[in-house]
Amino acid sequence: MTGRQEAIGSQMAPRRPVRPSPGARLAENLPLAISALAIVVTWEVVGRTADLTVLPPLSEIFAALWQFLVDGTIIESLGVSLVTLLLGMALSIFFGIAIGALMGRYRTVEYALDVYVNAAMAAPMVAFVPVFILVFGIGYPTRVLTVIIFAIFPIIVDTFAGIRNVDPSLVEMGRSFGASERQLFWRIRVPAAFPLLLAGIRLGTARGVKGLINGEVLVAVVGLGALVDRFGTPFSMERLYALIFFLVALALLLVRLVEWLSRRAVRVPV
Amino acid sequence: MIEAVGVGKLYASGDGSEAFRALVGVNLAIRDGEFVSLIGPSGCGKTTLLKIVDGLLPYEEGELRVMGRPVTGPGPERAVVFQNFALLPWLTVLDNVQFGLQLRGVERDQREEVARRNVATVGLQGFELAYPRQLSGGMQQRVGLARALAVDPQILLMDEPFGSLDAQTRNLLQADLLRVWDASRKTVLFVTHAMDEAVFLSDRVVLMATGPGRVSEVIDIDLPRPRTDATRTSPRFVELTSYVWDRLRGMILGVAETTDA
Repeated sequence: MTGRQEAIGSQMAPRRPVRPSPGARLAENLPLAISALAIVVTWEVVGRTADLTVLPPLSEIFAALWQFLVDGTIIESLGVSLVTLLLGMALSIFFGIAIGALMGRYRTVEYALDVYVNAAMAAPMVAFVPVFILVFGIGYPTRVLTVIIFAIFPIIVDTFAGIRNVDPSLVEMGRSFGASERQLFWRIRVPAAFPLLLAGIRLGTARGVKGLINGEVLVAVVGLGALVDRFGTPFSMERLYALIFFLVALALLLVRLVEWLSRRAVRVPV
Repeated sequence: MIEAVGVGKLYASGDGSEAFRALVGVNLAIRDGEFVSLIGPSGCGKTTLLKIVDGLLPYEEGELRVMGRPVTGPGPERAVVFQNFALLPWLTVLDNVQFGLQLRGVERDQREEVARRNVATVGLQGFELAYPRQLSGGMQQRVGLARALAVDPQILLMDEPFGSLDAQTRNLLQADLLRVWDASRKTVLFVTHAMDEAVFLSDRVVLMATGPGRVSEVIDIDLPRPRTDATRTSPRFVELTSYVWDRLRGMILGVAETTDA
C-alpha cells in the first residue's frame, strides 16, 4: 500500500479546527452586547425615574457590590459558603458518578434505584431542609446535605444515561474483539459516557450553588445565604441585588472551574 | 474454514406466535484463503449471516463450524471490519488499532509495534496520533481494517465496509484490500450491496434471496489474479457483473410482484 500517497494527498491532510473569523465572532458577540446595553440602560433609567423600592438603579447596585467587596462583608461569608459548597460538590460528584455508574453497569441496581432517582429529580428539594435542620441542627452537616440533594441527582442521571446509551455499534465492536463485560464497561462505556458525565457535573454544580443558598437562607445564620436573609428587606434592596449578581457570577465561575478540573482529571478529548 | 450446514435464524415474535425466519437452510463451505462475497437485496440476511459467523448473533437451526469448531461466540481467529467503522472517538489511530490486542492483554511495547506495522500496511503512516474525527471516511475505514489485521485473524469478516464511501475512495480501498489479502491470504467473508465490488474482489459470489433469507446461487468468479484497474474493464468482468445484476433484478422484481399481489 505504497506509492499512492500522492494520489490522495489532499484527502490525507488531517482536518484542523478552524478558528472563527473576526466577522463571525462579531456576529456572535454583537447581539449580546446590544441586549446587555439595552438591559443596563433600561434598568438604570427605570430605576431612577420610577423610584421603586424593588428596583433600585443599576449604578447603586454596583456601588453596593463594590462596597461589599472592599469592606469584606462578602469575603467573610464567602469562606464559610465555599467550604460548604466544595465539600458538598466533592461528595456529590464522587457518589453521583459511583451510583450512576453502578446503575449503568448492573440492571439490578438500575431497577432498585431508578424510580427514586427520577422522583428526586422532580422533587422540590428545598422542602427537605427543615427536616435536616431538625435532625442535624444548623451546622455544616445540614448545609452540606442541602448542597448534595440539589447537586447529586443530575450527576447520577447523566452518568447513568451516558453509560447506558453508548453507541451500540461500539459495544458490538468490543464484543467482537472478545471484550469481557468488565472490559466493555471500562474501555468503552465509561469513556463514551464522559461528555454526558461532564454535562451532569456542570448542571450539578449550578444546582449545588442553588442548594447552598437555599440551605443558608433557611438556616439564616451563616454564609452568603445569611446575607441574603439580612438584606432581603425593603431598605436594602440594592444590597440584595448586589448579592444576587455576586451569586450568579460565583455560580458561573464555579461551573467553569469544575468543568476545567474534570477535563484535566480525565484527559479525554471531547 | 467456515462450514454452514442448514443454518437458520429465528426471531421470536412479540406475541409468542410464529417466529420470524430471518435465514433458512444456509449451506456454505468457505475454503482456507478464499475470498467470498455475500450479496443480495436488503432483508436477505447477509449481515445477519456475517454476524452469526462472528458469533455476535446466536442461530437456532443447523450447524456452523469455523476451523472445525462449532461457533458459540466471537473468537480470536475471526475479526470484523464494521460498516460504520466503529472507531473509538477518544482514542488515536494507533490506540484504536491496538484496541483488540489490548483487550487480549498483549504487552504495551509489543502491541504498539504491531499497531504501527498495521497502520503502515493500510497506508496511514504519519497519522498514528490523529483522532478519528480528523480523518476522512476512507481513512477511518483503513483504521478499521488495520485494527482487524492487528489481531492477526485467520478469517476477516467485512460488513459492507466500503458502503458509505464515495466511488473513487471505494476503488482505491478495494485495490488496497486485495493487496493486503494477497500478502496474507486470510479467508475473507465480505458483505456488500455493490455488484461490481463483489465481482472485482471475490473468488466466489454468494447470491442471497429474501423471504426468508437464504442462499440462492453461488457464482464462481474466474477472473485472473492479481486484479487491477484493467480487470474492471475486461469483457469477462462486465459479463459476470451483468449476470449478477440479472439474477438480482429477477429477485427484486419477484419480490415486488409478490408484494403487489
